[in-house]
Amino acid sequence: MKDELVFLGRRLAQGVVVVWGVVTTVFLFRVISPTNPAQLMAPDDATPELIQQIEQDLGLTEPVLNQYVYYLSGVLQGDLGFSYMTNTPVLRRIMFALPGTLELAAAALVFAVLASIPLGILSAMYRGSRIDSTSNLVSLGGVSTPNFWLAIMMVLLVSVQLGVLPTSGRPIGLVDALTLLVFQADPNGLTSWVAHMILPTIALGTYFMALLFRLTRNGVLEELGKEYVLAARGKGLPESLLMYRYVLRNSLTPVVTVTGLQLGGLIGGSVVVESVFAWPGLGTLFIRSLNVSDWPMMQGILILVGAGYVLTNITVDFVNAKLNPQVELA
Amino acid sequence: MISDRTRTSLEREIRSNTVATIGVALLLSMLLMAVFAPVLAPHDPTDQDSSRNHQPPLFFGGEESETTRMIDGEIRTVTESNAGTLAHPLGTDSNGRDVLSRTIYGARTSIIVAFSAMAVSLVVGTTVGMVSGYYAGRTDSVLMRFVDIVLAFPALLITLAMIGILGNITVTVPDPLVASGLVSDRPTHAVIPVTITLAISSVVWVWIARVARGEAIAAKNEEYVMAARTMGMSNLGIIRKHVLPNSITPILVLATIQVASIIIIESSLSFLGFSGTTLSWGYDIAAGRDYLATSWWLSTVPGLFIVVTVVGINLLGDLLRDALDPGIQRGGL
Amino acid sequence: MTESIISVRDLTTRFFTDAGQVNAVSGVSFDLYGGEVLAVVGESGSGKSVTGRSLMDLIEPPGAIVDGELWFHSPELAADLTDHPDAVDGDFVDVRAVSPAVRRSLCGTEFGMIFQDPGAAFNPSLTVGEQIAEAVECNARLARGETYGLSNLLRDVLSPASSFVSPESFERAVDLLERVDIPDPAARADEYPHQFSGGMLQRAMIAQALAADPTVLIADEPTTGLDVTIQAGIIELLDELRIDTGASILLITHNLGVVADIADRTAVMYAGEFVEVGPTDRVFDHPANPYTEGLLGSLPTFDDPNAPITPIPGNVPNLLAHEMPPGCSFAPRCPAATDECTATDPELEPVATDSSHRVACIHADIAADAGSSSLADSTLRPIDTPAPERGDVAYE
Repeated sequence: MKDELVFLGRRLAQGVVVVWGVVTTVFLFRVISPTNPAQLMAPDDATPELIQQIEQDLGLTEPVLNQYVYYLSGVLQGDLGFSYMTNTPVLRRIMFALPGTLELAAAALVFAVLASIPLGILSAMYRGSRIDSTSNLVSLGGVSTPNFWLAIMMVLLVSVQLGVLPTSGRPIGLVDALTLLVFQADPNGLTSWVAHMILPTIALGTYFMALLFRLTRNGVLEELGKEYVLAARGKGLPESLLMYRYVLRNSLTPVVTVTGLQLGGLIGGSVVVESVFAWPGLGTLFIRSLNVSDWPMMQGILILVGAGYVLTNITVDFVNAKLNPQVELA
Repeated sequence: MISDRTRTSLEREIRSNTVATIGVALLLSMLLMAVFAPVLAPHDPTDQDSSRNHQPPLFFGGEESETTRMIDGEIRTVTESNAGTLAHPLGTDSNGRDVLSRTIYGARTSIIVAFSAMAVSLVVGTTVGMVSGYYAGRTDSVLMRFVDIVLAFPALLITLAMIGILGNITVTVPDPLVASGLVSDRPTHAVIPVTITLAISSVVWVWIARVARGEAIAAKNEEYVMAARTMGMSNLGIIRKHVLPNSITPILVLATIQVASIIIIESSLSFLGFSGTTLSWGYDIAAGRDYLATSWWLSTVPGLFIVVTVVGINLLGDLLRDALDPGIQRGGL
Repeated sequence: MTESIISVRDLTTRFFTDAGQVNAVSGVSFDLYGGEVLAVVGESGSGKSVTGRSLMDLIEPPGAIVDGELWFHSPELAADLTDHPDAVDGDFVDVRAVSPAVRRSLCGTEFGMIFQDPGAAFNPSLTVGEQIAEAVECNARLARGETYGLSNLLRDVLSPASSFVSPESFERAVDLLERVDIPDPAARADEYPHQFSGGMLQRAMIAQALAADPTVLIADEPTTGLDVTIQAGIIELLDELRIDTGASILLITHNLGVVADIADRTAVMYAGEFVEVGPTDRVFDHPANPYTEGLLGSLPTFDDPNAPITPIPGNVPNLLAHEMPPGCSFAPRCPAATDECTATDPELEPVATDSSHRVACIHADIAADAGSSSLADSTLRPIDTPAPERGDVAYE
């Protein structure tokens, strides 16, 4: 227990350093960007005096170091600044868009894990069989297909040709859908949520499914060749238990690591997928902000995603240490 | 740089692995297509003609329909068949431009961005990785913390942020094939999207640096490096003569595999409208979305070319891994 | 005193690799008697480990046992299998002819295996006690006639309270650790393999092999990775166990010192074939095969530490089928080789002076009436030549 606390403490301390770096980098992005926010916010016929006034209000006339200290202390207090375009707090806007992206990323992850791991095990166990070669072919396609194109092709087939499933928007969030179901016994919200989730989830999750499939298959193949698997067979352990306790558990370490590392990739990938499905999430918000140079908004999203990534990695290290007693918790 | 043993094992692998050979062939044909685009493209990819727009690919379509057209100053009703023609084997887009020609030119953009971004990343990443791994200590900590920071952002978000900082920089260079008079009626200049290239490099160098650092650390502890040090060889000399040559193979294998990621990122950025050129696969896929219900081929064709290219790179990556790194289990097909 | 526990006939195991077919074991025949230690010696790559693994049915693709019979003495099983006349001969059962399920049930109960590298043969993510207890549990469940289905798996995987291993099995695992002289066994049982030293882990491996009171222990290079002082302890332990439990031991090793210490009989393997087999003292004192002679000659002796060591020239042949030398595979390295040697592949035949001693060499002094009793000629399990009495083995 003490070891675990020390481990967590150390990793959290490292994480804090990286998050500080993230905030600093993001601050620098805004400083070196060619955008003059005052110009953006002022009306088209603004006088130079008015623009200067706005610059002063935004604190842009202060020395850069002062701006940095001001921004950093704001972030520490949970204040990510105000949007250049709407002048509303960035954090509130992000919190509004966050559930859409989180639901999508989580669904894609669940889809990827559930589809890839059993298939990876089967493929490795029946190496060279038809199921193995088919899965390999599909996974090669999966890691080679850009998610936005896959999304469009699914829209073309499923919606345009077959006329089923909606292709855009997120009319209702999961929380609202469940509230509706529980308190008003109305399942329509949930049905609509599921229907709108299906295509974006597959589009976003396929690449990770293919990636995790390859990792699982290779990991299981490697474990199957280990002497302790032979030894366990030699002592008469039931094959199913052997597959679980000896093969799968040990081959899961890289799978868990990559799953954690790819959460960032899922968020990045959702930028494009959201754009295809007109999905109101962080990605759509980021692109919209980029198009109008709304740096505070972009900074806020980057900080949030970066910090989330750091936190996930610490969790993954911890889980791996738990799965694998050889990794010392120190 | 590549030893005889490496070459023999590569040759053996290529001979014994048909699937990988297919991958290499796919990739080579994409490369040729990109280089000789002006010669291979049957039409000028920017040549518009609304009288032949939305023509389906060869063997598709064929319904007859009546439309009104302005012919010789008169409005007439004519019967038209929309069957695909040999002149435009992959159809035409909403402005009547030839899809095949656009796709061939699109390969150029992808390949130029992929190669130049990888070149920049290799130089920066290998240098940082070598220095970090070889000198270790404080230099290493500082550089690796910086790497951690870059890795904390999703690759696509950071490239987008870089685009926000850099704006839209492009360089227009004369097309040598057109300038030499070999072909005419083709765009005389090629657009190199510098912003995208730099934005992608700003992420990819980190991937290279991490592997280079690991290799440098491994090579540094070899006895021949210690021997060189006791003989008084300078650190830079050791890196150049011993550490780098012994680290380069895994770095190049990784670089090959990551070219696939670059092509996907490039097409994503083009799809989102940040390409800097209109001759790119991602751009055409985005443009075709508006006509999905009527002209399915517009988004489909460029996407298929992306998939084929990336499959080729991935197969080549598997081949290199199998041939050069016996430590990794033979995976894939 | 004894009769055969195992009769192996024409065992042939091949590996089908990218480089070609590897004939790892080519038509090996031998008997293992009750309570004896039979040592199989040979250089690396001679096929001795593959022979051991073939007996345990642990050959993985691209390898396969392509031919041979493996008769195991088991009156109970023979009585059960009356509907499989092909697989039964008296009290003997051909393990290769029975169903995979029956075969699997023999591994771990009747046959126990000790692996060469204990560090690799234990799962790093489970405690040592748990892994030994698994072996105990498997055997106990088999004895109760229980099968392990998907519902059992789901319960064991999903419920934290449920575990495959019962508390009784775990207790027995601790007892086994104590039996192999591991100090403080209750505490060590909860440790992971990487917390054990090599010697202790090898003892734990022996404990695991003993979990089901096996009739046959197959020890594949049990001392190779260990310090010399620890090696002696392991060999002593094996010898002690053989006397206590009455188990027969097939000891696979390249260490002739170990063989001289413990083995009743010794078989010499070369290029996938047995080239000589006999009582250990006979084989050591009067080697009939030039290869055995060479093997012994390459050892330093205590009698005359200054005597020159004579290595055997050349290398063990590559076992790739198309690169094997014709005729006797030792001929290219053999000082006594003649043209005849490359023409015929000799088979094991009794030595003139002692019928319990057999050799495969055309230049050896073969008993006149050899041919008919040649092991390799037998089609069904013959009762082998009488086993030697304990009294004349070298270690005593």
